[in-house]
Amino acid sequence: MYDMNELLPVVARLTKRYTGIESSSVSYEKANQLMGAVIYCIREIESGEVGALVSRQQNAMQAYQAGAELVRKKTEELLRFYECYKKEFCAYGNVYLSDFWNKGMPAFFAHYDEQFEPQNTILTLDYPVLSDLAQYQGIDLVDLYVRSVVAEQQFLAMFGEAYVREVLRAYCADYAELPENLAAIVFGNVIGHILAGKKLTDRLCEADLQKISAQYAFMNMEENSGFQGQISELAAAFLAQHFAGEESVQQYMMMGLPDICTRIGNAAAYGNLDKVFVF
Amino acid sequence: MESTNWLALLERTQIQKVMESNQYTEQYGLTLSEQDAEILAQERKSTLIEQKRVEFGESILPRIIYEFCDSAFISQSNYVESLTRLQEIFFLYKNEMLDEISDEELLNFMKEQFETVCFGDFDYLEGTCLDIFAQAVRAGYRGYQQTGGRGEYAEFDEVLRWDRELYLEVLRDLCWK
Repeated sequence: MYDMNELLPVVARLTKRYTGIESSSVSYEKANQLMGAVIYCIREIESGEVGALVSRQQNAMQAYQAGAELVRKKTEELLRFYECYKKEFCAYGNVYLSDFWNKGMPAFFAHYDEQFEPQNTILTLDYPVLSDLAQYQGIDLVDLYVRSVVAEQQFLAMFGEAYVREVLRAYCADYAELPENLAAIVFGNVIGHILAGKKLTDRLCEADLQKISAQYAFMNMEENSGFQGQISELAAAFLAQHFAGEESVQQYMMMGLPDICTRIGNAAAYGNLDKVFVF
Repeated sequence: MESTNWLALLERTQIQKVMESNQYTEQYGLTLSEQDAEILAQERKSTLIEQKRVEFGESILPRIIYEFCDSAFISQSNYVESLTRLQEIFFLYKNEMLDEISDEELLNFMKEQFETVCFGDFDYLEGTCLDIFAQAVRAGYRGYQQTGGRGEYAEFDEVLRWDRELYLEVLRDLCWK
């Protein structure tokens, strides 16, 4: 990383571009924002795929300019990616997912300031995705978030809209305003069918849930992770079979598995499997 | 990698620019010594910290000097003090106007009011003229963008003032008729 003496001339130049000939000074707040922009761009180039190629002999200005160009390219690429999946997108009636895709993303592309505030994500990203994106911001965060949503779309598309809506309705009548991950709900239900040895189109009944409870009780006696370990294996096999060649979908859904396993385990422990295996 | 302290270099450059202004201002009987320039640089730093602002490039001080050097109310005896005060007022009102107004527009407004309505009174400039104008700018007024900050105050002036011709006519009536 560069020290303040190397960064200040870069920030000075960016500030001059920001104010034009209008102002010789900026507020601390604006100066912090512009410094943040410079640091964000330099980090882009240092941590990205081409990071290994960046020589430390590059001065701060060169690193910033390369990083700023990378930010610009990522934004363009994300726009193309978004446009590509726009038509086939389905929110399944969920307002959080719909608002993000249909209102949030156009607003992002209209207002994202890649030059003077690339670190500002702008969007609140209320719809919860399965990937942990806490360490990201700006275009990096939105890019990974959009790709997560698209991976979910590809997962849910396999079941058809009608089936997904049936499962969601069975999970919660007000699923339209449910701030939960839809794919996790459907995947949890799928795992129930796998454990019960039933087809997805056959509704799970009380006898199936009792059978799964008995499996849980038996495996839990032997070792704590026995039941959850079995779920993980079955889930991974299901994904490998039905999403062969779609590594991004498999990887994404596997990220949600620990939480799904915990929910199933807790539900089994307290006799509430009907809250997870809903259809 | 540069070992020069960039900020120190910037400050030196700014002091040089202030000294260069003497070539223009001496026609108005105004000059600054190196010591004066250093005092002004120090005052600038203090004011910027107080107002929570940053100048990365050329300082506003040379422009204040060029704008106010022909003022009827600034002489060599109050030159440094006046420049210090003008710097303070300038940065204060850049903040008060939420950076909506450009440097040039603000300087034009300040100079015009200082020479006319304020009659060289810094307190009146800071506490009345600029305060009223800043309220208008914060409320959304943008007329100064067309005028460059000139001829703006009349619209907001709360004080009933004499029209010059009317004043002279009344004076003639009272004294000579």
